[in-house]
Amino acid sequence: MKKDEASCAGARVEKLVELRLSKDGSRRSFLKSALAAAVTGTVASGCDHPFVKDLLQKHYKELSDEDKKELFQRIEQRTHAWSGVRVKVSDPQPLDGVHWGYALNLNHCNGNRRCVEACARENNLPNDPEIRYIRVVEADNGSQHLEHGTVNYDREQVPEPGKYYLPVQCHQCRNPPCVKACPTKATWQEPDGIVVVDYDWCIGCRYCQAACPYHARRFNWTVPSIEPDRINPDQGYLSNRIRPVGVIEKCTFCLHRVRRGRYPACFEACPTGARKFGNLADPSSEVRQIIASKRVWILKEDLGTDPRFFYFYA
Amino acid sequence: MSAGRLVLVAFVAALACEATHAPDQAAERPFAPTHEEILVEPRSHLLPTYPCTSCHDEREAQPTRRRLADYHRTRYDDLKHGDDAFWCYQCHALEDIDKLRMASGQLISFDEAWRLCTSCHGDKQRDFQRGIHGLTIGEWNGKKHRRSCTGCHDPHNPRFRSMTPEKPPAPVQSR
Amino acid sequence: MVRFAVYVLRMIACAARGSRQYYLWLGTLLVFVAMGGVSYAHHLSDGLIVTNMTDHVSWGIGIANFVYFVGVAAGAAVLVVPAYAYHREDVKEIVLLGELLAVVAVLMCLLFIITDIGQPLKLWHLMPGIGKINLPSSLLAWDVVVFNGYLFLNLHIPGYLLYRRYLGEKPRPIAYLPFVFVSMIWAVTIHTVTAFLLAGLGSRHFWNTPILAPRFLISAGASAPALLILLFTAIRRYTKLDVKDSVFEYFKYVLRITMPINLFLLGCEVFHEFYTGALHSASAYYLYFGLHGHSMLTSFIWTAIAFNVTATAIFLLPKLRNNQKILFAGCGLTIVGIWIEKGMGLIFPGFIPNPLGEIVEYTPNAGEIIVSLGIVALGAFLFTIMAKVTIAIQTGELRLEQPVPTLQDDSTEAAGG
Repeated sequence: MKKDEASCAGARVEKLVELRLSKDGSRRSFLKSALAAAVTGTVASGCDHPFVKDLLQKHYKELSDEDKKELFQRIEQRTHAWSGVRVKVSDPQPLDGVHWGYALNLNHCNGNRRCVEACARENNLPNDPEIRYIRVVEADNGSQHLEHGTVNYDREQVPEPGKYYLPVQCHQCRNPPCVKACPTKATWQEPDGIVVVDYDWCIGCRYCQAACPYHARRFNWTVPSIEPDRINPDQGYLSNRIRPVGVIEKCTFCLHRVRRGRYPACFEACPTGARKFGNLADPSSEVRQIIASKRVWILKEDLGTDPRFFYFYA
Repeated sequence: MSAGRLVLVAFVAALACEATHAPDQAAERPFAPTHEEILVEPRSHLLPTYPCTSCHDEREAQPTRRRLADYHRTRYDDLKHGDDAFWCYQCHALEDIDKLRMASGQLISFDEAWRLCTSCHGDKQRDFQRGIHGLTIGEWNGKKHRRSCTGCHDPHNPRFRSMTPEKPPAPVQSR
Repeated sequence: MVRFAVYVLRMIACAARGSRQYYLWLGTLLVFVAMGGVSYAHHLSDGLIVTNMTDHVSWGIGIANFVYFVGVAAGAAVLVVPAYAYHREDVKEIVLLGELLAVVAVLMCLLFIITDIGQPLKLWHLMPGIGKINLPSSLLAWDVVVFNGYLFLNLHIPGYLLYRRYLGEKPRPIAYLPFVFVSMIWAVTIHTVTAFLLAGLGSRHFWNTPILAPRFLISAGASAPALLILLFTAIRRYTKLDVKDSVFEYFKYVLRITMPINLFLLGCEVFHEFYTGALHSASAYYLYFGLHGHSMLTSFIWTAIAFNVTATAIFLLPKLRNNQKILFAGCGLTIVGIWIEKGMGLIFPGFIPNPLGEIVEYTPNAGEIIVSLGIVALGAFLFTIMAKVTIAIQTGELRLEQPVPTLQDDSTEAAGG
């Protein structure tokens, strides 16, 4: 199809040349119209090129339903082309009266990292170079000095006596420094509190990464490589779809799951019951009951980020 | 998991029971579920030696405390729950070995084991009711399904087992 | 219109003609530019994975150089203020070169950013109107605004003045003076915004300090005159432009103020970090003494401090600063010292340890250094040709009355810059 249009444009230029040469038109106006024909031809054939379409892709908030349909199809086809996997890209919308909250019981977390791996599977995170949204810090009892802890613990068995485990992921702050930092509005807070990234709008400046106090943002330093058998076909446009190179990505509380009633993947994977998730706007939700009845604290509360992620002991 | 396999527990009943010994209940009531039904996952069908009567039918139950040999020896030797006073008939029903016995004498099904656990562990019961303690499965917005206490804790040795963790983050490479 | 086109063509012709030395210099620079281009092509084709940057240290030598050259750009104010506000004639004769240096520095800054981002083709997202620039909240967005503004100001002012001079007409003050005064404030703004860009991040305690902007401005006021002393010495030697001794005395005077203040502000920072001894000082400990066995940057910062202290001594002691060779050494030490202070001494340690306390170190690899060198070489190339044209216009070599040289003239008159 592209070829046809290009050759079509070519033919138009040729025809113009013939037409002009037969007449005694002014040389300048001939050149002008030949140039115009060539440019419009290139633009017409170029606009259909996926590269150009990607380049001129609109911001998520400016996409019409029609645009979205076409765009999602393009993403699906592209994934199919290289992996042979049929994926479905969708765009579940925030639910009315829902504000997500996450609570994590540090008494129960034993540092088994099941959440880390389940998250990687769910969110199509590459292994090489490795991207993981959740980091579990192993720290000494009696200290919150993170530098003295490590995320690289490699033990036969956990928990190690004398240690506690602090999993950290995006805190979906109500006052997110990353959103303030972004120069292009490629990242924003959804009405349900999830901070999302429009992966096609991000220019990859990584200022948000410098701004995040929770080390929650990851950059695609190269084209993410993911084995076809690891691809999760249930993909959200703003969450777990396979990302392009050179852009930022992050935890979205699995918005493609939670907006459809399911729990986040890390939640379901936790074998200790340390992870609690729910609607902060609902007083009967587990997270609200935890805040009301347990000793809850916030990581780096002094920074005023006001997270939707709470740690507690129970 | 089919709904039929789940034991339905009306929470209103559990709350009424608790209200008698919890003085601060009034303050906490607004946060307790009132209309929600919480489903606890049944476990009897997962137990390898259940029903117990498949063996115990032919034996006379011996109510005296003693060290067990043969089949239940390891269970007895490794029993790490409660103090030395604990043994089989603390929880298992002498009169019906396929049932569990509450302190009140009420016999309950193995599928309701959580009721027996929480009759001692009142603090855990409160947290379990609110979904603070234990595993929640299913959907955050739909019916809440709970894993039973014994789904995670071995009732004879309830301390949470240590686990093999997943691999650490890949080391950062310089190029 | 035609007259202007001829002017542009003649400027290009002027830039293209020169001595062997001139061609050799430009050729050498172009080799570096080409190497940088090839290296950047790798960045583009394989992604930024070819650099040593990681999710832990996500900004590297590119941003460090960016911050340094913002200082150079802002340093043009060192010339602009005395030339236009205090009407110093000796400075006025060379101020256009200072403004063009600012242009080049801003262009380099923009290139350091463009080569550092993941999706350079999507930069149009930053354009107001077509894109979605995040004003007023993003300081990086403000940086884009102030940089383009500064670029415009510094292109307009010398551009206008040079064209007038070429025409042999007196410049109309209304056409440039307002811009000159705006540009004085703007010079402060570009460096302030860049400092705020870092200082505004609550999660990076090392940067989150109110004296970052003053430090930036003062260090710009030190590194720019040091660079200008070397530049104008070269210009005096290789071109017909007469740079008065008093200009050099003025630079030395500025350095006598800015270098000690720069050290003082560094000392304030050091006191604040170490006397308090809070956990927030981890980056400072890492930088100055190493942390938990990691000490990749300690030798750099102590080198920078040694250089800056030595240079300060040179500028303060008349015996030393009036010896030209020692003065040049002092300028060299200042340039390198402040460059280290802003890169290895500021940008990198801000990321180490990361917000979760992990220590991942960073040093640029060959590819990154070559890209940076390429950009610096491109800057030097642009400055050389712009300076050549400017000097030709200022000395009257290039002016309207002069007949347009024919091809024969070209070959005979090839001994300019």
